[in-house]
Amino acid sequence: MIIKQFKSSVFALTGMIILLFTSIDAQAFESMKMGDWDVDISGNINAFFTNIDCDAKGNGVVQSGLACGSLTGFDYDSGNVQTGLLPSWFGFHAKQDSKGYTTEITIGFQPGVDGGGGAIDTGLALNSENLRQVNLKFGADWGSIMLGRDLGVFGSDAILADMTLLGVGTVSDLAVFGGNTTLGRIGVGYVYADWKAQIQYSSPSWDGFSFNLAIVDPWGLVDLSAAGGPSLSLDQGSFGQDPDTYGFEGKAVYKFGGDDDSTVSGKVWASFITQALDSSAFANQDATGFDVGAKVELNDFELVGYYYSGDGIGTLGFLWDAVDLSGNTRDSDGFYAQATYKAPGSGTKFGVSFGESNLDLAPGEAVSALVETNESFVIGVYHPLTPALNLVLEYTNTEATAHNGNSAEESTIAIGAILFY
Amino acid sequence: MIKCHARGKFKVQNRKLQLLQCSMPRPGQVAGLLVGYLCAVLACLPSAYAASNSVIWERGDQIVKLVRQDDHSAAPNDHPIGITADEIVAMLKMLRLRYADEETDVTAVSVFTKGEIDNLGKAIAIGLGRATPSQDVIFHVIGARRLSPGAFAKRNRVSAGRVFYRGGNLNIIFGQVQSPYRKKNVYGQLAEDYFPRNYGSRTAAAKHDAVLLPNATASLYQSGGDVRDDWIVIALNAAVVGDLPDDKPDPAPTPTRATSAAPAVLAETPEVPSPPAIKSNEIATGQLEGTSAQAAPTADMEERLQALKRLRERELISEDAYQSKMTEILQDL
Repeated sequence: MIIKQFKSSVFALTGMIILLFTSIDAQAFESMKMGDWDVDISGNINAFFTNIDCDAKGNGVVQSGLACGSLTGFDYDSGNVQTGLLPSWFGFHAKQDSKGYTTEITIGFQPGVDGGGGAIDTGLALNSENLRQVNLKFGADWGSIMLGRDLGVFGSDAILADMTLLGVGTVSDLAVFGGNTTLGRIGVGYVYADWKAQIQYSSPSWDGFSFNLAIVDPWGLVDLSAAGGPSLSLDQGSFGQDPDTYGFEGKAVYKFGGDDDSTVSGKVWASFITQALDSSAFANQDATGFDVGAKVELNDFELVGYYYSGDGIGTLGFLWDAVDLSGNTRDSDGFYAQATYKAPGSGTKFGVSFGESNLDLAPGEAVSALVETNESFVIGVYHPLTPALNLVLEYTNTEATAHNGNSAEESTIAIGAILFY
Repeated sequence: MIKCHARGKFKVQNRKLQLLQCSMPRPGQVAGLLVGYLCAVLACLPSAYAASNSVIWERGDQIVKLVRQDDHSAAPNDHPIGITADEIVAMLKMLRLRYADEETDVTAVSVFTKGEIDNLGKAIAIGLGRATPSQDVIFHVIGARRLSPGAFAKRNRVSAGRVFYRGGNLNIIFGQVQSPYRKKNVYGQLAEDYFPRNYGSRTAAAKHDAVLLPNATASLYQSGGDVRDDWIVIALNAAVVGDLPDDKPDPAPTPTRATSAAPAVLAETPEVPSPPAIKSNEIATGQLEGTSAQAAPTADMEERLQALKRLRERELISEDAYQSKMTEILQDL
């Protein structure tokens, strides 16, 4: 009841804000100044027709595999109209300069397109809704501090540089029946940065160099392997995970070029994540990982290279399948490489990328159907019909291979549009 | 990563060599090495870019910084140059524009808001005092303007361009003039400009919804009979050019002194009109605004009339505005 009322209030407030803006001027959604506040409403709506071919190869399941058919162990095809990797977004942002401080608030919610009721939606099924971003920020010459829920630090630049962020990428058994978003390259090149309750310090930029440090709400272990067969990993309950801890994340970034006199521009970054995994049933462990990445723009070309490695950080999401049934952590790593070319004039971007995520067995762990590698190859065309509207055509081939040799393959064709406002 | 171990030893030309057997790295490890190599290479870039990308002032999305000239074949600027912040402020205050769509707004308005001018004045003065001959000062500032007189809400607008001094003239090329300000929300990040930033170019004129208006001391750049309505040329004489501002952090470079003997017109701008000499106290007090005609010589009046005629011929101003302004100029005879 309370949740319903809250949702009603959010929608009523949203409607009022939209009415306010549209009544001000025909050119709504410009950044406006109201009193001392700069107010901005922004986001996107996107939807894709996806045709998905799931090939289980007939040799059994791949537990935690991300090619559809991995978890079921049998072939099937699926057609959807669904949201891509980037969730549709309604974002409200306001900023004020007062007494030497810049203060900001950000609230964003993310409605999905698909009903998520199964392979075939049924009537009265409601679409999914997330509330991922709720935070305040204040800062001055010394940098800024953000408190609230926002994108995690570790792995954030990997997903923000991923060309499938404006497309679909890998769908997987997890999203083939709908849901809020697809996976893009999450779990097939990087660990999901996720949206985390945190307190984050961001430094000012010194000639392009800056850094971030965050203390993060502790994350719990997830056992995805159980979705495809007998459990092979511990979750926070079976591990007896102690919640009396925090996560820590940090990142250093150097940005270069970017002005009209620079032929080369881009950035390089490195980040880390760490969290204690104290247990009431097993030996205490630590989850620790790092990543490095580079994005370089040279005229109309852009190259992205990314690599991560960690112990106990899991795969797909942070702490997913990170600990085996004996309470030992698993090593994992992954990478992706991406090249895009933007055609002069039309602005059409052609992209190709390849990446994989690997999950090792823990010391002494027996070979099983647990996924060893999720990898994908993506070709995409992204055409800006207007500065706000992008048409997208993507083909993604995803393969999942288990430690025991089982495998599955997914081929997805996606056609759709994404409109920013 | 790559792991090797000895498989045996042998001699070649009296040199002891060791045969190693190495395991091949996984593709991810290769990618990691490549990224690491790329990072190492790019780590050498900061020193190179620090020399060319020097931020003078930055607040949020607003910035004033030094960059290399956009046209590398352009003649060197006469930098560094000592101009005070007050002088820059006075010059910026004089700049006016009119929207090309006269049905939208027929009133000439200031190019910059007071807040923008306050921020730009000091930063540009420092920038011109620091810049080398091959550097321009670029700016990207945001000003809020009321939607209508008395309205509560204001609209944030962006102005961006480049400033350089050469041949006794301060040049401002506008890439954006009161353009809509938007950030694209990509995954909750308001980092990407909705419309690409444009700092103006010596070689390619920018298209604006608004028309920059010349005045007694500020002319539109001309070349080969073409008028660049995104490029303002402001003449300064020796009286204007004073000492470097007090807050100039690096006094080492000797500022170029513009004198009356200096070329009055840029080499690449043979048709730039030479506005009358302006006195620093006039600029500093803003007296030039609307009062310059009293002190202007007849030649200046002719120039103003010609500039007015050109604007009318290019249909940048209405017939009514043309007649009104012409009458105003002639009344000063």
